[in-house]
Amino acid sequence: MPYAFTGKWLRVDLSTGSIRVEEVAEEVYREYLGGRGLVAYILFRELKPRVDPLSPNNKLVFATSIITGVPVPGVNRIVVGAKSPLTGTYCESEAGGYFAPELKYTGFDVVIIEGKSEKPVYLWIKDGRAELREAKHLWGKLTRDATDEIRRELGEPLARVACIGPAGEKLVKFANIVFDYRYAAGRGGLGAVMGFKMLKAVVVRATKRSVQFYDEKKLVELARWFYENWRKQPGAVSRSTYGTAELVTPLNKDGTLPTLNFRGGSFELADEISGEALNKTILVNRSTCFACAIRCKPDVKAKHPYETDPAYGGPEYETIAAFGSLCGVSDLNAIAYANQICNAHGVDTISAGVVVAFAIELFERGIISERDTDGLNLRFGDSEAVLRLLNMIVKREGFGDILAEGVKRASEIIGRGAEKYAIHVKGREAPMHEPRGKVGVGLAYALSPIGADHLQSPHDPSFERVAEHLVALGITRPVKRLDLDYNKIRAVYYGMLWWSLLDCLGICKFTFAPHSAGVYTPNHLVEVVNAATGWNTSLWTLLKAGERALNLARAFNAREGFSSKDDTLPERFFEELEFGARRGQRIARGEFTKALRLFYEIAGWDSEGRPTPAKLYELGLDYAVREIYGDKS
Amino acid sequence: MTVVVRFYGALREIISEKLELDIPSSGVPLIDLFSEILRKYPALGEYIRVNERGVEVRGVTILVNGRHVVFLGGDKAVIRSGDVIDVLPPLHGG
Ligand code: SF4
Repeated sequence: MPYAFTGKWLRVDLSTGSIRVEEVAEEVYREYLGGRGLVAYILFRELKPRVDPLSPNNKLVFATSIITGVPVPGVNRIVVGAKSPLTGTYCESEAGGYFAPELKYTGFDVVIIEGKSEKPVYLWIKDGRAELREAKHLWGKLTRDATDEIRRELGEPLARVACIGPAGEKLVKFANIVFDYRYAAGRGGLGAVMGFKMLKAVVVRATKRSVQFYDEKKLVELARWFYENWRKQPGAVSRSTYGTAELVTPLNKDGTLPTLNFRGGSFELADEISGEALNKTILVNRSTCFACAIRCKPDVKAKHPYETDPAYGGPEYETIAAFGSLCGVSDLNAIAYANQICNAHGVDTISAGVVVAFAIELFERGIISERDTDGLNLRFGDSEAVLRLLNMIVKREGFGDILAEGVKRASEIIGRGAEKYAIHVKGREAPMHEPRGKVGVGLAYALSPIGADHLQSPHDPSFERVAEHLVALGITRPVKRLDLDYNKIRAVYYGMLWWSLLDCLGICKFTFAPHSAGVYTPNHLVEVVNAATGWNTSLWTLLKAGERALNLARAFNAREGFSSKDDTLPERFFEELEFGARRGQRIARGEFTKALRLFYEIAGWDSEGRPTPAKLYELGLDYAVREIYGDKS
Repeated sequence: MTVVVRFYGALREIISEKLELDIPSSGVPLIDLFSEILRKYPALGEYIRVNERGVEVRGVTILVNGRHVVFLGGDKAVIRSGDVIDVLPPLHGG
């Protein structure tokens, strides 16, 4: 058996109830590493083009990586993927916590779920064995109740549980998968895929570790280095103290805090929803992920009338901005409560917040009225109305049923010009980073194979100073924040390969440079991989794997019919910011389009944004050439 | 004649208090102000440098009275008594 991974994949067919173990060759791991790489490999090869995401033919993949389970901070993400019911694109989403190492320790690197069950079931995996169990009694339950019940009936209080809430069962298009109450594979509607398949949960427990690592001593040394050095990195200390909520104050002052459905970039009540405010008011503890010293996850207890349960965690920056500034809400208690509704019912907080803000703007503009909203009067800043609407969405009640389709489809259903206020790329709601102040983030939104996403490439400020870790990635010149020239495109592209690699390995991006909280450098990663596997790999080889995964995901989309017309931004980002410290700033459309074209050429993509046959051959993806260009190429 | 300089986020790990600095009544160019701050807090050099090219920000953002310094003439901006300067850390995804 190789070191560091088991070489075993579990394939579960819910239609027939069959469970098979497959042995997979080391070459596959060498080329795809895990996470995003393996998800793309499996979905591209196994899904027929144009498959309906909510059909038995879609597949749901849970993937660890070659280094999952090493006791090194940051290496803890489980990567879940399927064709997205929200966007129709390739989709993968990462969740932190403890699930990924536990799954690997049970003896399986990957779980592939196929088909559709007749009745609700859950998958129970323990120490190399797997079985499907009845879940009728769990159907309809909130994530916490379902998780507790599963642990109780199995007599396994330490089991790790990935489950959907009622929103996934009701096929809310941005339903997520919730791990141990609080970590989420949040984006793209993977919870709806699970709900359609009638799979309530995947539960894992290992009583022993089924993998060996090549050089355990070295891995402990690398972890110790992190533990001894993270306090010297101000960004890491700040993240540990305030969590991701640390971003509210500086982004607000910077004019890039999305506010009132992206109309402006500063929120006058931002102080009330800041990291400092969160620490002073509702924070009760900080939690962490497997082996991580940073402990950035908030546990909160909100106050009357919005009492929350700390077990559900607390709102991250994305959630605070999505339900706070974006909806004009300054009550942290209400935001924490919105976070709990999302975690309990199982929906993505970013998409949910954007959908609510969209509806409020439509209401304020008179495009919809109380007749459309079942009597609900929607105003920015009205936290009570925001929570009522959110409840309607997660339960698909009344007007909430339309919004549960996501902002793109909802705007098409509503019509009357509503599309202009739907802020999304490829149907996926934009996250809480204003591209008019970080244009490279705009490029990454447009080019991301999963739709608008803030974790595709490091954000523009990272490239303003050239440090050793950036040089290691090939970024040798400083680039200003608002530049959109070839230097910026090059930096965003190399950054994209790096973050694609981190997604292949299931790594938290906060723990590695060039993230502002990053402690490890790219060269540390090579040491981790070699110590875990016994390979003698290099940063070049690893970045190539990141590139391979990115290109395969793009190739998946090309096969689905996505093209350059889909690589764009919502209209609003080409218009001026209406208020805030960057009032008047916009992205110049002509310059942006030119930048996209140059990006394609740099990446080896054709004018439609498809990886060229040459690029695919270079990456060893000959099967993708045949699929996309036919035998003649 | 004073100006206030405030630091946020990760930068507070270097300068935890807001600074109140005396300046001449005629005002002071931004570049001189930051030379002075860097002399007292060299650790800030990781994020801001002053050299022949001017004030070189390395991921941080400088605001004067809530406006981006780039909109106010950049390095040539003259800071006057009563101005409030905010220095924001690298603003990263989360
Ligand atoms: S930095 Fe935060 S999110 Fe990342 S692994 Fe550590 S605790 Fe988890």
